Amino acid sequence: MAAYLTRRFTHSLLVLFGVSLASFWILRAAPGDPVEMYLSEPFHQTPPAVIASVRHELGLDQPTYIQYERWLGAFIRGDMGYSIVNHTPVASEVAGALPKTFLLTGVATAFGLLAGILLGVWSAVRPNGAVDTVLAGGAAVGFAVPQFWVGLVLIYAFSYVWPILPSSGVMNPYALNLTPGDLAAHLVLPAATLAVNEVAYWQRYQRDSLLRELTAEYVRTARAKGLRGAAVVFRHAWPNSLVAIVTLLGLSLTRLITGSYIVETIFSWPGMGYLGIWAVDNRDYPVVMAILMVSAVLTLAGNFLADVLHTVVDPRVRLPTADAT
Amino acid sequence: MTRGLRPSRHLLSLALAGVVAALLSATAGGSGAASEAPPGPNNTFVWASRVMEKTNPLLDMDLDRVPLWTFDGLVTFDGNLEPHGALAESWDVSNGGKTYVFHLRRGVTWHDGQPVTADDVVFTAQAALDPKNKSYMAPAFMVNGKPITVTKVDASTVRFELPQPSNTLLFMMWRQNSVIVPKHLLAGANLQTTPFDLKPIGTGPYMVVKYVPKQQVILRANPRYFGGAPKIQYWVFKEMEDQNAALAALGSGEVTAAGLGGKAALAAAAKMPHVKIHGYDAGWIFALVFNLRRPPLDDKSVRQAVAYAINRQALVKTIAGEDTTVASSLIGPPGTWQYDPNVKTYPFDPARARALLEQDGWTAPAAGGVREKGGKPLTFTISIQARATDSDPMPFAVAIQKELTDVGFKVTIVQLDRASLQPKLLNDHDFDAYLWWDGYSFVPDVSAFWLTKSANPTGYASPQLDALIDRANTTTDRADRKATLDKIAGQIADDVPMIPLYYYRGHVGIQDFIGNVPPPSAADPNNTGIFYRVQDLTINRH
Repeated sequence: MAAYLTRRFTHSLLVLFGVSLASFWILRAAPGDPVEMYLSEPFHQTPPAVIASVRHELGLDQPTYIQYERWLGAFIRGDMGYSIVNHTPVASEVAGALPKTFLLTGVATAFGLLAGILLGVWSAVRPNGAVDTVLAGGAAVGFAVPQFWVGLVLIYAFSYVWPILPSSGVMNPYALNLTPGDLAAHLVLPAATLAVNEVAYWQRYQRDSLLRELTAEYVRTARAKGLRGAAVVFRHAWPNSLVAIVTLLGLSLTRLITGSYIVETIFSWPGMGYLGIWAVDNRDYPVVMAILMVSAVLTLAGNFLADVLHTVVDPRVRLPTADAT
Repeated sequence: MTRGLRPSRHLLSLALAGVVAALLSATAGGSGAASEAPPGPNNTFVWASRVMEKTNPLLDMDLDRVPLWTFDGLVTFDGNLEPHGALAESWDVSNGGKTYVFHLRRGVTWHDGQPVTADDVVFTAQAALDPKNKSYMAPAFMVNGKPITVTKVDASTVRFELPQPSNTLLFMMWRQNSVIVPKHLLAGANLQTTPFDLKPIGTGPYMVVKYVPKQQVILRANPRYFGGAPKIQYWVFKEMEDQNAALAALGSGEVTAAGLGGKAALAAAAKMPHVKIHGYDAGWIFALVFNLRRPPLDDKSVRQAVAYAINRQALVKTIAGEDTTVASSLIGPPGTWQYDPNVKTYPFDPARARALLEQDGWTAPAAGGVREKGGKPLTFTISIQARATDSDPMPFAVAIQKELTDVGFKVTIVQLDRASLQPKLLNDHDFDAYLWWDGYSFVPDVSAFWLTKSANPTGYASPQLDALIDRANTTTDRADRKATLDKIAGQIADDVPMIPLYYYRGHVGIQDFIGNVPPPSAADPNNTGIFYRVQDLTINRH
């Protein structure tokens, strides 16, 4: 086990190094200059000497490989640097944004998982029936419909036509402090927007996974022995169908971060997606790099979690040992 | 009906609170409470806006955001572009326009109760000019790139010694270009990390109560404001990145006002029964700007042909809206003293455009198509910004492309995001033409635009114009200044380094229970939309 973990850790470090290298170079190669972005506008006379001094102070006048070396050294020491535009520590920006993204996508995933499992089971026990057909169509729509469109429709319906929910942000404009109730109210629409896709996702997986179990030999044996339908499904087939679900949960960690960019922007939800789009727009390199690296770490963690969970739920599967190739 | 949160939202909130309790503790926070009546629907103006990242005006001056509510300049201007005192009560000009002595208004205090003194003005100038601070206000304290010397005469008198005569100083001391900051809070502070950003202390009609990054800024009325205590107790800038979300919030009453960018937003707001639409001159001009360093637009005849080929009237009225004014002069909006109604314009005349091109040697193929001269085709690109925050320039680009094709041009449209486009325009001058909004300024100092050594991306260089600009900026005689400005406007119109299209007209949707909204002004000098006297607004709910 120790050897496996060591191999896995080393592999992850190599992947992170590759991600950082590629991201850093691509960012620098993209047109646009962060210093120009926040110091100048056409016809606004920021003295060239000021612009040059800022670039020097930020190290942006150095060759790219020097900039990367400095960034990497600082990052390894836990220093994510400062936002070029705001001059705030990047770590605090990310620390402020990450919980909000986890909250949003966590709620959406939890709802999607619960609803998806229920609907998936319903479809699987009555395959090709009317309900299954409707749910299949609904899932197709859920996969295909753009998130931004869903978000705008929900805003139109529940913030304008029947104004029972706030349209954006995380807090009441009259509030001096953020309260759990206020945050919860603001969470409904963006979470529902994300949940549309999540429900479709988990519904299809649950259906397919359970259907496979229901056609297995042990289920036929159980029925032959006289077990009732509900017992067969919920005591035998369904738990086994969760193997795939649990494994996919680990992989969905990545989606928790990357799936929310558009939704966070529409709803002005101050999470990682909102921060990321702003940082890219303004070429705020340190912030973009921090978000990319955090996303990469979470992706790798998610993959690892998926592997571990798989061994937990399925005793037939074991993690590779030192002897395994 | 009282707008704002309804009881059904609260019930929904309670039901969900239990599910998310663990994560909520990681995201909720904040402490403190208001010591008087808290903000509510009956005492708060909520403006759907973009919450700027910095509220320290030394570092950034977002023109319709928090600093303009919380700080003041030495002077202000009215709708006729006549200067009036703000933090300065009066001033004396001497030494041929090289010396200005400002007499500060007595009894003005900062939001923390400390008095405003000459030391604050001197400190502001020094901090703005200090290269370490990279202050956006630095140009306000310079004349032709040379610093102004600001010294204290006594506690309420300040002297400005200019490196050369200039009649634009008052414009620079107007809130749009510079504001005064408190020495007692910022002297010795690191401007990049000072907590002043989260709780700026100014002199303005409103003071910051709470700043929630990327969410909202809550301001409270300053009862000691020298311009009169605001009648609305609270003002909230609420972050709303998406125009559709802002429109929904405006329609439901969640916000009091929201900017309306584009015809679709205007049409949506027009259907809201409790919302009034207010237009204002935003001090921006939308123009087709040329790069005179590159052929074929280095040729004046070609530029004039482009001007005659574009039906500005039809384009502007169709795309920008019927209430939008077609632009002509780059100096002053119509109706102000510096505007020249007789400046040369280019009426839509494709035949004349073709004639100009023919005379210049650009011959058209017999079957029509792109004109050529010396084997080179008559072609150029128009660069536009993608994801423009205001009206989309693409419809204009496409329409101009079509009209120029009709007279023998080949025009290609290049769309880039702002971060990519800006260095091309400013640093590399890697463009042929671009469609852009530029602030054209209400007070007629065009040195930033058209001086040969200015930040002018067009490459237009004219010693004759330089001399005229210098005269316009230094003469103390109003009639002489006006005559010189007319010559400047005329020369620029004749050489046509850019084709003005329209004066950008902004629109704001405001709930009808807001009273004392000022009428649209021919020139809104404070560039806060129509809110240039926020202290007069009232809430009249029934």
